[in-house]
Amino acid sequence: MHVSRRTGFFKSPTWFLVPVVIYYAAFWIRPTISVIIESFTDKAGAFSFSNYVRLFSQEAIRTAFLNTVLFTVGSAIIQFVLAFALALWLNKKFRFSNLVLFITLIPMAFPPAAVGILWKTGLYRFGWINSFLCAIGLMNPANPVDWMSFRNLNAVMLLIVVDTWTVLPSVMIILLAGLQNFNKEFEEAGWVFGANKFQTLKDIVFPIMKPTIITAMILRMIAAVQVWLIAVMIFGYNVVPFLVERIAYNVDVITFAKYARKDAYTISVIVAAIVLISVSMYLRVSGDKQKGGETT
Amino acid sequence: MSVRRGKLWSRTVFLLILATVAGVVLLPVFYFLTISFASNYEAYQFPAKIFPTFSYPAQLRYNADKENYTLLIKKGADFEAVKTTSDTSDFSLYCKSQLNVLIASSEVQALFDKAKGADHAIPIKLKKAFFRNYVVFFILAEGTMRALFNSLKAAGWTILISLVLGGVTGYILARYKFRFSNTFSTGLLVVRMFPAVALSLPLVVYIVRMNLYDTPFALAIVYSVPNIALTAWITSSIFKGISVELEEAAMVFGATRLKTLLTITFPLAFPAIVASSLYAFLAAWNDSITALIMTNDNPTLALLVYRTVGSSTIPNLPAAGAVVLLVPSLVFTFIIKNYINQLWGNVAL
Repeated sequence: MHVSRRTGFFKSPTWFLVPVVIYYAAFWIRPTISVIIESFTDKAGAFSFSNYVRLFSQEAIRTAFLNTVLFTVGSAIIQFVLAFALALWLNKKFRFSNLVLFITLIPMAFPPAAVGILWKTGLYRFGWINSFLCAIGLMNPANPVDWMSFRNLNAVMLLIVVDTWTVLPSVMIILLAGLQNFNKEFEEAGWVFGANKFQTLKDIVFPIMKPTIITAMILRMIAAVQVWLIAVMIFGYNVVPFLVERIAYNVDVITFAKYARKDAYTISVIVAAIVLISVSMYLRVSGDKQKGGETT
Repeated sequence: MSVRRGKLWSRTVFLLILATVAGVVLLPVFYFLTISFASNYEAYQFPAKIFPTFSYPAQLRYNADKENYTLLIKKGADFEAVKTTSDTSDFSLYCKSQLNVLIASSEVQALFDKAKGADHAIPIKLKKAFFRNYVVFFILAEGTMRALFNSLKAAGWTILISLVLGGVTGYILARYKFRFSNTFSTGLLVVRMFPAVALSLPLVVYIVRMNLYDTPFALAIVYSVPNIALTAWITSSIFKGISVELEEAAMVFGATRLKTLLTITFPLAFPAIVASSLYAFLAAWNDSITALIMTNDNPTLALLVYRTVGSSTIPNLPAAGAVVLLVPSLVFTFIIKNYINQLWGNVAL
């Protein structure tokens, strides 16, 4: 039932959406189209793939691509396992479980810049990580490890750890939401029929939770593809190249290089494309979830 | 018997997990807070302390042969000589810059006289100016306060734009079905997830043309793009929950549509409006890539913190900046945490 008495198209309340549509046309669609055009034209303005060809002939970009893939996949796997375990654990109500949940959510509130500093103060040779390891006797104070000298794969793994610390709560909370909506009786039915804990988890909890899990993972991937700040704050530019880190590098450091702008544009188109593919995957999954919700 | 042992076992495992989770989260936070209060001298000490200190156990020694004074600070079991000088202002400067201890030259002179009178090192009390790093970073360093205000301005504009445009959109989406409403809400979801980088880069050109480059308002324009969509999403779900009958009742009693909105609908939707504002605030407050692309002389606080880390070797000053960056973020995240859940279903917290 509608409050409105619609007397024709011009009285339709959808006119109130015009400002939003104009805003998006001006500040979303127009710049997006222009950046796509920029990435497909050369300096003279003619259509060409030269930007993409030049980009992928650069060693650093190829590494950035590889690192971003490694980082995204690695962090997705680790964060899924840990977040799921944590969510299962916190879903069992115990005394102080609310307090524990509160504590586990703290890292989520850290702005990326604060995360960068927090771990930078930890990872340098005389930082708190080494201090702590010495305090509990796992490291010899005379010979501390310089974490910041890590390179390549080790550095990426270190960044995955740092990233996991920050974003685990947000993955966990989505999974926890799924678990709390989950009908306990399904699980109990499994036990009644003699399944052990692991079997119930594998055959009952997992399949029902699947849409939630995929949602959480796609959202994580979208964010992980855009990683840059923690990498730059901990290691500096050029040490662990990522796609967005390359954009920042082109904009921040080599601003006046011949192709800096073009390179930045082209990488941002690639990042946006990856994100949009992930979003369409997300839409399909969440659409399935809604349909599934209606039928059950 | 075995049941009890099993219980004990599971309890131990439980406590172990509890300790690990709490430790992994809280240890870094505690160390980080301590470093933000550490003086340069303390920042170079290894192993670092987990809790901040308020004063130094120190001694002052008169060296008769060279006619100068040595400051010693306790390190482990012994005292370590950290500064030797005969000049009071030099001594005072060292205390200020390296130890975060504010001590006037005249007081130093009094201490020197006392040390000269004694034949051994005298114990002295050096009280740390606890918030010295914060004072240095925010008040003495040029531009920090301005960056803070830039962040606040950008956040304010973001809230305003997102609330006005997003609130209206949310209301329309909740109350009316129109031809493209499904496409429209899918579009909003896509905007919400669109990477800010891909937006800021091409927008700079337009922003420069509009003469807005390097202003907080320009940042707000970019931040608002995803946040309008988010606000529309949050508010529309709330507006849907407010029954149309309530609005109709008000109108039956003669209220105009605007009055109904202001007196019935908005108060009921107030929590959602607050939550969306806080989201908008956080988006603006936490961002650094857009600010990196869109500003030059007027950075936001997050960007400034990021830049100081690059330029300083000891992270205690930028850590102080990051703590200030963290506080509103922490408070607001916990206020809206129930809404975070609402976005993905309902978690009872």
